Amino acid sequence: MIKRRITQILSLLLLHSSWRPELKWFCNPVLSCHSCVLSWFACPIGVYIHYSGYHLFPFIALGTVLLLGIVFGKLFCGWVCPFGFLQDMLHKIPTRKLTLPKWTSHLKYLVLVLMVFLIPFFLGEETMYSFCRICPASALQVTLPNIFTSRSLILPLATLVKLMVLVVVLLGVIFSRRAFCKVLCPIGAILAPLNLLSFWKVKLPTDNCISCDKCDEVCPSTISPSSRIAKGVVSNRSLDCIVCHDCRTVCPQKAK
Amino acid sequence: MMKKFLNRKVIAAAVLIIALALLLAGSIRTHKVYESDTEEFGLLTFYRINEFHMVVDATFHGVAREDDRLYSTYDRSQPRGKSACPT
Repeated sequence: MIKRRITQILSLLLLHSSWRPELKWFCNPVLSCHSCVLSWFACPIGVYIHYSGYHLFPFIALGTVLLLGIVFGKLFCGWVCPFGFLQDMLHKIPTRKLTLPKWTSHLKYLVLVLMVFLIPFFLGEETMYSFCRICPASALQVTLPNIFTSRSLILPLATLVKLMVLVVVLLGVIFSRRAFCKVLCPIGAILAPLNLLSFWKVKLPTDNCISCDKCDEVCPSTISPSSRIAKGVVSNRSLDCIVCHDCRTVCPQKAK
Repeated sequence: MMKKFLNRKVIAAAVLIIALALLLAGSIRTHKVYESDTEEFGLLTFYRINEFHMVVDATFHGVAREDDRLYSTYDRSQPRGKSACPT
């Protein structure tokens, strides 16, 4: 778990360290706005939205995400995504914790299809109803700094909506771990099916599991790794697994 | 169980091949992007840009679509600084 935290902190710093150069032909499959002045890479969601508006097929952008997804699954979500890191930190705030109903995890697929592909395709890439207009990562990295630098007290309605979504998401993740990832993240929606197929495996001693359920207790996605281990399936074969490896870290049987 | 395992491997390999094919197709693809302001002899001038350049343009709304054509939103003959996407 410490290794993961260090990797997340390094990712947060390195992904947002550009003093001028850019590598924005590369779509990094994490939620980090490419309009941030410090960002190196492109956000695949922003690129897909624009390509949908242009009526073009995103060969490079989709190929990159598919390639990284089939090799690593949602490893980037658990170890690299800066917004995921923020959610992990906010969830440490001591409050009553809640579990979201399972059906809410299907909403992100609707968000992906509607707000990333269909709506921009029919209404144009600048539409007010695309995901970029409500993206909480964009609100944190771009909208808030723009508000502070402009020092304007009058905010357009679109900006207010974006900030409201940010507040709701940040409050939500305090009570429910990685709630944004489970419910709204369109990158997670693309990578989720690839988790079931990826070459990356979280190896656990499936032959000598003692059913202690420690893996279930630490799982940030609350997806009961023990149920897969009991069937002899690797624990990251789940749509919502963020491949954090915390289940492997706490397993008392892994060294045997 | 073995059959499921092999099926998963086959599908994963197929997705990997599709991803590589998309990258290959994208690397040789080009786009016609018209200049919105300039006309020569009644004809619109255009640039031919590769897919990588188009991805970069997509990060800051460097291209706009009008009447089934793509138009540049900035002067491509000048060096471009860091730009933010208006969305």
